[in-house]
Amino acid sequence: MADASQTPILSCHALARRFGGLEAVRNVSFGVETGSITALIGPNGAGKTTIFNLISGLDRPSAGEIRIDGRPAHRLQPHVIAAELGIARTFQNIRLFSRLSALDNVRVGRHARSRGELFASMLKPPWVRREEKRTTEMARECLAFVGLEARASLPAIDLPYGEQRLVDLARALALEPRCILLDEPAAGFNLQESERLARLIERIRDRGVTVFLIEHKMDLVMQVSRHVIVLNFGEVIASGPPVAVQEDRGVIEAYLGTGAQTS
Amino acid sequence: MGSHGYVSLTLAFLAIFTFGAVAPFDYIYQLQVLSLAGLIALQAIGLNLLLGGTGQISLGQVGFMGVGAYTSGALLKLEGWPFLAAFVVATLLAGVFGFLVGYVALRLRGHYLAMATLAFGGIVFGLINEIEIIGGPLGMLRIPPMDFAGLRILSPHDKYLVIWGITAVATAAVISLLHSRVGRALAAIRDDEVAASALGINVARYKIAIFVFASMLSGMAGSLYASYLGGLAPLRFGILESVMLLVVVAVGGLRSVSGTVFAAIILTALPEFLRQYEEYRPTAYAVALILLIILFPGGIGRVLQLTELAIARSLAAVLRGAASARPRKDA
Repeated sequence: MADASQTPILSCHALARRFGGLEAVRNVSFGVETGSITALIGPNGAGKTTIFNLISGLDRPSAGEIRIDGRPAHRLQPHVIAAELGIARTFQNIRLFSRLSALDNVRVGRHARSRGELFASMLKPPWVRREEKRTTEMARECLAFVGLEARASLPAIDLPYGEQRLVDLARALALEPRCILLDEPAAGFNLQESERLARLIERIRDRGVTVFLIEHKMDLVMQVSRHVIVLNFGEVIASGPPVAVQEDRGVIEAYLGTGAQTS
Repeated sequence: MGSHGYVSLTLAFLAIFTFGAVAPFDYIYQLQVLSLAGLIALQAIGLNLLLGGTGQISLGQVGFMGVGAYTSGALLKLEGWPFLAAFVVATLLAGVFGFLVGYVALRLRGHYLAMATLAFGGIVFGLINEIEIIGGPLGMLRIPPMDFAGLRILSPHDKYLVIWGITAVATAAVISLLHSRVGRALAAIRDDEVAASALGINVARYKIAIFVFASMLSGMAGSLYASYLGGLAPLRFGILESVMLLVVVAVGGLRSVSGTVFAAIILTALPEFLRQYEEYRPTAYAVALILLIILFPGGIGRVLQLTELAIARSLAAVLRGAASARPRKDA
């Protein structure tokens, strides 16, 4: 475990993604240390979500490569990246399965960690029943982890916005990921909820899951992250510990515009 | 999720089997109509899984039935195979075609998928009209009956029971599938393919698997149909029959297995019932269909579900003694 922190669980090398004439991501290189909480920040349209989509295989890079555990991953299918490489993610616009209950959403998250295909699912031999029981137990545990065990049987769409975000998080955790990508997990949260989320993110890391998050709420970012990567117009403009990034001139200009005073 | 109309479905199957067991001989006509309804139900539950499960449309579903029917018929009649072997091979071959069409279907959506499956149905229809050895446009006659290890199924009652027995097993299998790991994965795919794949679900594989499964059910129905009638005519495998199956799924309600079985029976029996008003039959049928869709927009399945819920609630109220304590109020 000691040298695990030396190799990044996730790294990008000269990554680029063009949409027609628009270069959403260009020449981006960075690493996410195993076991860390790393933040990806930047103004709207900087290319953050595009990078998440590239990592999770939902989109293909125009150039460059992505390595997960040193293994090239940018040609793999999303389900392989999730199931075999253990990269889970949440979505900025919370993509819950609206017709399913909260618990069933999380049980879907167990898909890759349980067995039983078409015929086994029809015949339901004892091992499938055992597997189902375990799936349900683990899903309940994940819901309890985010504090929503009481909501288990409610349809996902009937939950308030903040709780939907937490179900999305529990669903990703149910995959037992090694690294979780959180896309603006605190969006729409008030101060108190953000505070609770910060604790939750730290507890996820304490479980041994590397956390890579996109977030606009700077207090949250500065509070929990070990490392911050700043993106602007598709390029990395700064990278380092939160304190160093906060004082970086380029970052201040990107956020506040040129000519801004530091003190 | 609550109720799914399974109580009504169980009662319906009990009624179906009881009728098959006790129906007197002058009820042969009713047995025949209901046997065909069983074959429609067998196919429609597969199509419902495809349409309601993974959101894929098939306008050529009867093509798979044609593959099954003619494969089975040819093996029985021309090769002298035992029925069970022909039944299995017909089912598997329909599955192979389902795999090929399903593989193409992965790249297509909406109208394009509808057109591709329509074309498949057209190709099968064209082939069975062209190939001389299976009778061409004249069809195939004298196909041997169903036969299970020497037990020949000859009477209308027995044929009816075999068809509905297989349909009941398939129905139970599909219901079991829906309430499983795979059933949840299908629901996830239907709701949001992107989120499903990001959770490690192999979307393409399940889409193909369901396509194969649905075509195998149609292949089974075809094999049973060939031996049930003892003869095949290409006309029974046209586009209209495929559309008819979609209508059954729509009237039954997407994703409702119970509703699909009820719809298959109602829509097969309806034209027979209307036979006495011969000249108005097509119009009356169309009007009945429109009425069904207007009256039950969520499909028959939704009606069954709500009825069962209401009955369960009143029963619970009665058990609690609430019914006697205060005047009845129906919500």
